[in-house]
Parts: sequence; C-alpha cells; structure tokens
Amino acid sequence: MRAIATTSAILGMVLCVGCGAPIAEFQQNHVYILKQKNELDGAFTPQQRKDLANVMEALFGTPDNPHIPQTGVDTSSLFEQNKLLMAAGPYGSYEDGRPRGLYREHCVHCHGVTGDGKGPTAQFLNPYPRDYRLGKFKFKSTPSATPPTHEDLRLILYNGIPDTAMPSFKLIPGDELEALIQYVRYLSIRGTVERELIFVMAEYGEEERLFDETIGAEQAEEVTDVVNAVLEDWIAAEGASLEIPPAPKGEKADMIAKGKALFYGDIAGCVKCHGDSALGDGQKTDYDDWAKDYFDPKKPDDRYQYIALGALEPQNIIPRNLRAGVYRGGRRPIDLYRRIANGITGTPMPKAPASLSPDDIWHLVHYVRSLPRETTSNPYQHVPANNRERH
Amino acid sequence: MAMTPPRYPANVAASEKNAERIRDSIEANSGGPGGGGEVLADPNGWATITGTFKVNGQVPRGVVNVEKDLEVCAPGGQKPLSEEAVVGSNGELSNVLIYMTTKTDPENELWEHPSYAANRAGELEFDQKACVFMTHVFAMRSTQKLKILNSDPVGHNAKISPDRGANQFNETIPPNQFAMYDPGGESPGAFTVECTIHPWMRAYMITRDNPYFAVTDKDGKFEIANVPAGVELEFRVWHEMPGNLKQVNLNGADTTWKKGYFKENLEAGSTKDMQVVLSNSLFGG
Repeated sequence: MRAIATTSAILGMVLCVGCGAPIAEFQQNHVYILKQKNELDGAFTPQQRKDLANVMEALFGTPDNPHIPQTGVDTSSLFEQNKLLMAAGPYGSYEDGRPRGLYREHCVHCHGVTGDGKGPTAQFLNPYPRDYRLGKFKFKSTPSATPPTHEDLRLILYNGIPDTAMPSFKLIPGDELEALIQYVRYLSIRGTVERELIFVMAEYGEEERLFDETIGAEQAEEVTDVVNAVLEDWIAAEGASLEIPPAPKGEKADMIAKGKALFYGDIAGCVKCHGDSALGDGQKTDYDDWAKDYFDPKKPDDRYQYIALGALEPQNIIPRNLRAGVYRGGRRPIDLYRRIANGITGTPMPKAPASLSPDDIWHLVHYVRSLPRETTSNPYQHVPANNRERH
Repeated sequence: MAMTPPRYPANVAASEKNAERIRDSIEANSGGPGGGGEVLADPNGWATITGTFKVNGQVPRGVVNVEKDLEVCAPGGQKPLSEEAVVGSNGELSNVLIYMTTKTDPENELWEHPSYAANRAGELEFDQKACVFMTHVFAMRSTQKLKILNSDPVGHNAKISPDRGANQFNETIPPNQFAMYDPGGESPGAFTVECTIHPWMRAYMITRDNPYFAVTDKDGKFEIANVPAGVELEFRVWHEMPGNLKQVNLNGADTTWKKGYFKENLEAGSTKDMQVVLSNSLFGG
C-alpha cells in the first residue's frame, strides 16, 4: 500500500514536469535575420545563430536574470541592476518584500517577453504595441533620430497613450514606474544591439564566428563597439530635448486664423495628410517604419515569409483625426508643439520646415486645439445634417 | 481549405556556460586597445575603373500609381514611368551603384587622389519635380551636405531612412524651398528617400567616407577615376530591383560576385574596363 502511494507520488511528480508556465526566454529576431539573409546573402548557419544567442545572453542576461553590459561605458544614467530586477523575472516578490516581475505583470501581454511588440494580444490591436527593438519611439521631446529621454518614457507610462491599447500606469508607485522605464530601455537597447550584430553577421562567410573562444579578444572588441555605440546614443539623448520658445501673446481668434492659414497653406502643408476636413483622411496608404522594417509596399507578397516567422500583418498608418481632440502623445500645448516641430519618429509625419517660425508653430497649435470645438466636429442632433434616423 | 496556422521557428537558445565564458571575455577585453584591423599596404599610384551595364532581353516598365495632386504629379494626365528598372533601347541599365568597400584611412593622402579634395566638403543638390526625385540613385560623400530642393508648386517632404551609419531625416519642404541634410556618417549600403505626402515617390541614396563610387547613367556607363593602384580593392555592386548583383556576365564570362562584391588589384596608370551583362529575369523580364 505504502509502495503504491510512493509510486503514485513519484509518478505525479514526474508527470508534473513541464506543468505551469514555460521558462521565459528572449526570442531571437528571426524576422530581421531573414531580412538580412534575403538582402545581404547572410549565411546564418545554426552555429552562427547559436553564437548570437550566446553573445546576447553574455551581454544582457536572461528575462529572469538581466545583466547590464559591462563594456567600459558608464550606464548608471540608463539603468540600475536593482531596478531591472524589480521589472524582470516572474510576477511575485523577493524575500524582503520588494516586488518582482513588474514587466510580466503589466506589459508582457502586448509587448512580449522580448519587447518585440508581439505579445499574445498584439495581433488584435491597431496600432500594434511598440516593438522596442528598433530603438524608435514616437512621442518624445528629442529630434527624430535620437532616443527618448527618461522623462519622455515616464510620461508615456504615466499618462498612457489615448486612442490606443496603452493604458496609464498612474496608480503604481514611483519606484515601480522607474523600474519599468529602465526595463523598457534595457529591452530596447538589447533589441537594437541584436539587430546591429545580425547586420555584422550578414557579411560573414559560413565558417566565420561572431564569437569563438580561441580568438576572443578581437571579437570582444567588435561586439563591444556595437554595444557602446547604442549605449552612447541613449546616454546622449538625455540632453537633446527640443527647447520650446514661449508662446506669443495675442488675440486668440487672430492666432487661430493664422494657424488655419498655415494648416491649409503650402509652407506647413498639414492639409496634405490630415485632409481638407482635418479628419486625417488626406493620406491613408502609407506604413510606419515598424511595418516597413519587413514590408515593402511595392512588393506586397514578400511579406508572407516574414509573417510566417511571427511578424504582424502590416496595417496602414492613418494621420491623426484632429477633430476628435484626442492626442496620443499628450494634449498639452507643448506636446503638440513638439509633434509639429520635431515630427513623429518612425511615421510619415515630418518635422516642420525651417521657414516655419516658432510663432507659426504656436499658431498651428492654437488652430489644432480649436478644431474639436468647431461646430462641424460635434454632431449635435438639432443640426439637421446631423440628425440621422436611429435603428 | 483549412488554414494552417503559421509555424514559428523554434527559438535558438543560449548555452548558459558558453554565455558566461563569453561574458568574461567581453568584459575583460572592453576598453582595451582594439584589434586594430589589418594594416593595408600603401597604394603606388592611380588607376581607373570604367564600364557599362546592360540587360539581356526585355524588361517591362510600368507607370507609377499616382494618387493625388494629379495636376502636378501627372501633368496632362500622364503618370510618370516607374524607375525601378530603367533600361535603354540596347539594354543599357541605369542606376547601378558601384562603390568601394575597402576600409581606408581618410587622412592618408596615398588613398585619396588630390582631384577628390574638392568634393570632401561642400554642398550637393537633390531636386524633385512633378513628384519625381530627379536623381533616382544618389551617391555622395558622408562629409558633404545635401540641399534638398522642391521645384514643384506643391509641398513635399524628404524622409531619409538609413538603418545605420548616416542620420535619419524627415522634414517638410514647401514649394520652391529647400531643406538641408547632413548625413553625418557613412552608410554601409543604399537606403530609401521617400516623400510621405506622395508615398509612391522613392529614390535611393548612399553616403560614403571615401570618394570611390559611381552610378550608371542612361547609357549604362560609369567611371571611377583615380582609384588607388597596387593594392587589392573591394567593390560592391547594387541595383534596386535585384539588390546586390551576384550573378553577372563580365567581359564575356559568367562570373559570381559573392554577396555582390568583386575585388581588383589595378596597375598604376591602367584602366580596367568592365562590360557587364545581366539577365532580364533579375528585373521582372
């Protein structure tokens, strides 16, 4: 009897191996590897892909145990180990009560363990969740090619992104928010480094190795250079916010009128994409950089090979409907000023031309903010044109 | 027919032990003196590379799908011809990019003929008219600046998208105005220039530290003068449709350019002539 109980207990234990959540691991960037294979004839042999996985783990650790690359650059302004440990790992807490697994608690369902924007919910969303690995973020204070500042990321987490699936994390304590900001940076830097290493490897012959212990020193230097270039970009971003000159003072109606003239005029040319109606219907056939990373609208059928590797079906990027009064990157006047002055990274939205003065941009801000208040933006029932039958 | 769900590839997992060894090695070697790369021998003079690219057989040429601003972008109702493959009546292929990929020391004057001193800095122009970029494949030095003009009565923008090396850029260019682009670095290959107001507009650009590059003209011809002689140089050849050119017929012989590269060691004072013929199957023929 006892023997049977023991046997079944052992059997139960054996059967339960494999129960519960699988161990979280970072996914190699299969889509980017295939792209470099197609464009540059990269070999990407099983050995080379294994090398890449090893080097990535050497530099950045694992989803449960993140590592900050020690490559001679001071990264203390980007992340601290104890904060990364709060965000990383499975959801729970450490023995001293510190939280653990915040990223998997709050972010992973959309952004994925790897930060590739391919969590289980991603395919249902439009816009798709951000894939951090390109290092591009839309709503920020820095110029188009520069990473976001700490405050830029904090604002996105704190406020969320209206009209998207990104919620606000206002209610979580400050140090947990800080841990998530650092972890997003960590995943973004990790993803960019991986892309750069894949690009380096695309030039390799079949026998070449990204890292081979026998000639490690020289290869270490090459890997270090790639990592440090990415780290330095992020460190330099902190001082690169656009300076915003004070808004001009004047008659409000007058400033709105000036903004309207610019909106429909040739210099700013907003109408070209946001449309005559400002409903965002002037240009609806383009794609953002995250789609164009694997999708060329001129060769649409090529996308299937990438979709088979987990890439999401490309979705058109639609200019903002300016009558809705909903602004993804923040509704403050300075937020709108930044969007116009810097453009929006990774999207068709260009920065303002040099011939547009700061006052011009402020006038545009006035006009854009007035649009949702126009009568045509509000379908009042007593306006006959708006009075539709309901069924 | 039942849809088969996409099969994602099995992930490539790291080996913890190897990763640890590599970590030790990287962290021990960072910040130290670099591998330095190989030291190149000095050139002993100058040579010239010249040639023609042709396509064997017919290549179809479509029109661009112009969607708006028709009076400017399709004057007289004529939509512009696609520039993806521009082939002359005898097969002459335009817009092939040939560029030297050998890493050189830009300060070593043995590697840069004095005739190139003039194009180290200064400004080049890149124009657009009737919603077409006037130069379809544009090569420049990374130390030069680019004045991007707009000769149309409608606004354009230039969205310049190098993946690495050179700066990304996206700025509105009002009618008859211009924007200034400073590449700030070398791009390893060609990248797109688009107008997002008119998303059918596309050109390609490359920015190089060295001056040894050329793009074939409407006769399919190119010339790179005064390249360093007496040393092995590596060039890459690219065209928008097939990408890097790998299978070519060079001076009558079928030749493979691995990953689009060819190597040449030229005698001082010599001219290397390359008559290249490509299969039209590379261009949708």
